[in-house]
Amino acid sequence: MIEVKNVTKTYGKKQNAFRALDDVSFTIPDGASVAILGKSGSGKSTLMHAMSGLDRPETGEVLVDGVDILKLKSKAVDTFRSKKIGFIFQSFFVQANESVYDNVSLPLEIAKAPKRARRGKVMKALEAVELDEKVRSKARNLSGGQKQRLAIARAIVNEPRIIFADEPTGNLDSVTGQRVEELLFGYNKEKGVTLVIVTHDEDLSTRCDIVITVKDGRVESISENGTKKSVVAKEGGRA
Amino acid sequence: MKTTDVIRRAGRNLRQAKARTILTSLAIGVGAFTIALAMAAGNGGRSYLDSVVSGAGDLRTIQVSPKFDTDPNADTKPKKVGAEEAPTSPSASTIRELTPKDRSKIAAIDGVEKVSPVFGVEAQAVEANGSDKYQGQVKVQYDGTAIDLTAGKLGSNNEILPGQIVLPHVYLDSFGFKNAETALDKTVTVTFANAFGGTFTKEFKIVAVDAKPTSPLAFYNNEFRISNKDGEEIAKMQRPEGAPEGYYAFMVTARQGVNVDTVKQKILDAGSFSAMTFAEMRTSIMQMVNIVQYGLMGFGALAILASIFGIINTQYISVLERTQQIGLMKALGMRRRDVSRLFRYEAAWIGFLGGVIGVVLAFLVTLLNPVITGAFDLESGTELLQMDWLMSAVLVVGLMLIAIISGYFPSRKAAKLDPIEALRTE
Ligand SMILES: Nc1ncnc2c1ncn2[C@@H]1O[C@H](COP(=O)(O)OP(=O)(O)O)[C@@H](O)[C@H]1O
Ligand SMILES: [Mg+2]
Repeated sequence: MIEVKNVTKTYGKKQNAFRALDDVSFTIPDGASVAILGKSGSGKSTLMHAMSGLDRPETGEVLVDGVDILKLKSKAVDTFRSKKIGFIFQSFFVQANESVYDNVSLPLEIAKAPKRARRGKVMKALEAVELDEKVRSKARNLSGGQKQRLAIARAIVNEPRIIFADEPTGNLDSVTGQRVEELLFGYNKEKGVTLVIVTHDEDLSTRCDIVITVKDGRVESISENGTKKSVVAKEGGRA
Repeated sequence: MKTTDVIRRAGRNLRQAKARTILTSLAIGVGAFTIALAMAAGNGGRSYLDSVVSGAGDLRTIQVSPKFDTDPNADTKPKKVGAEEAPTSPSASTIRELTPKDRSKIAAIDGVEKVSPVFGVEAQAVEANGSDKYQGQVKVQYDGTAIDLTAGKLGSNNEILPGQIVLPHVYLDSFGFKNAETALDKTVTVTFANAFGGTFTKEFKIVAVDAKPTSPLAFYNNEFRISNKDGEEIAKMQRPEGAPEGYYAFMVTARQGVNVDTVKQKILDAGSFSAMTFAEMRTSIMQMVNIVQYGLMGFGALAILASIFGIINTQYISVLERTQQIGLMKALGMRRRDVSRLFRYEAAWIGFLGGVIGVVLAFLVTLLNPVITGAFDLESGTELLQMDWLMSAVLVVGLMLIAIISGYFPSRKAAKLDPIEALRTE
């Protein structure tokens, strides 16, 4: 379970201070698929970074399985990310010069997985995204869709509890994007892994169990299973 | 991250930037090459000198000659003929000769086993094979100094027997010898001045023909060399009647087990002599070799110092180029320490490569030993360049350490990188 409590993130100082996240709170149950929906610049990525231990907002709490990751030492946060989190980014961030195999094996190396266990895990992840035949290719020789599938393999190889995907289909055409979506939702259903997708695409968000709509750094609404609940109303007409 | 994984990733990163890696390594390689070669030259030089000097006799030997320097308290009054320090040889000029009195003085010194006088002789002319008369210098072979020979053979400890002479190879043509071999066993007639203004001749059998010296540090003197026994006889003939014997030098042998330097000091204290032990001669030549070696190594060190900036620069560029890669790795939970290790190991690889390149190049140069030997006209088989493999290994390890230290700031920059900033795509 992920509990976000009163998280505020400010960029800049004094007059230039800008609240990218303003008192954000919500709860995500284990195994849910969640869309963080909002326009560009609304604070979606900032929120995702705060939830995944990449960033440390100055106030608030992010409880993952009861532990406030904002209060952890940096070493513990690193371990938390490498053991529990899988990341997928809009621009893939695969290592172009490395082979497909070495790209996927990176999280295992970071998590100090025993060498013997690695090969099996890498191949399993590559099979899941149907890239096992490309295992020896250089990542730079893959197409955009293949690169994002490679990124998915890298995200799932260490069997994380939560996958964060920041605009995973933003750089893909609709057909390839569709395939990436299928892979993500399939993995979410099959393994019961919590899936958090950051997107500005409403169609994509409708496929999720929970849709958290963000606007100007604030949670505008949270809808569960299609039933929209206004956060604003719940909190007593703040906006 | 496991160390082996960091090392493998570091190696792969370098292979992906081949040109840059090789160029940076080459810069270090230049310094490493210079140092490795300097060590090889020092090594070869020392072992070569050892072989030459150990042939040059006993470490118990002290060469004693008259003191050269002008003593302000020296007795400058004219002396009567026959007085102790009167010039006796026809050639005697300003340099004092050693006298029988000196000889007994030194022989009486505690720890001295033997005093062998070295006679100075003066030849007027040399001829052989019916040739014209030529000017020539005749010198007594008083110590075991090795003579490089083109033909013939000397006795043990480079000894020349009475009646024998070593012909300087430069006289072969003048004497009409086709080559060195044909000169062997032929006769050389030497004309000496006698004590009465006349001359006398003496015949010698050519036992060997010399060669240019093998040591590039040695000067070549075109001297005819004869035995000390013959030298003594000739000196006697050249000495005016009644004059005491005069010597060019003494070869003093210290008694076994006695400290040679102590004996030398006693000789110096005994009168106005200058004395040098073989150990000292060896040391002074070794010092020259060492100076050359350390000088070269200094240049190598400068080159390495310069290449440090190359490493720092390369690594900074590498960090900039790989901002996203670093950001991703940190996002995936890679520890700061591991990121910094990754870059430091890359630097270590560069240092290792540079060191190996330098050492291998130096080794390739040592393969040219036969060419060098030929160029210096040394005895074949002489190796003036000898790889010091242990020191080369130390050099490579040292370069890796230097590279790691050079990579400190770039690696710290990488470790400090904020993953969110690094992964920002806009
Ligand atoms: N490092 C930063 N410094 C200043 N402002 C920032 C920084 N990062 C993000 N922002 C601002 O915070 C707001 C939210 O950014 P972001 O979370 O990336 O939006 P989204 O992902 O929804 O497009 C934007 O207005 C952006 O300009
Ligand atoms: Mg964004």
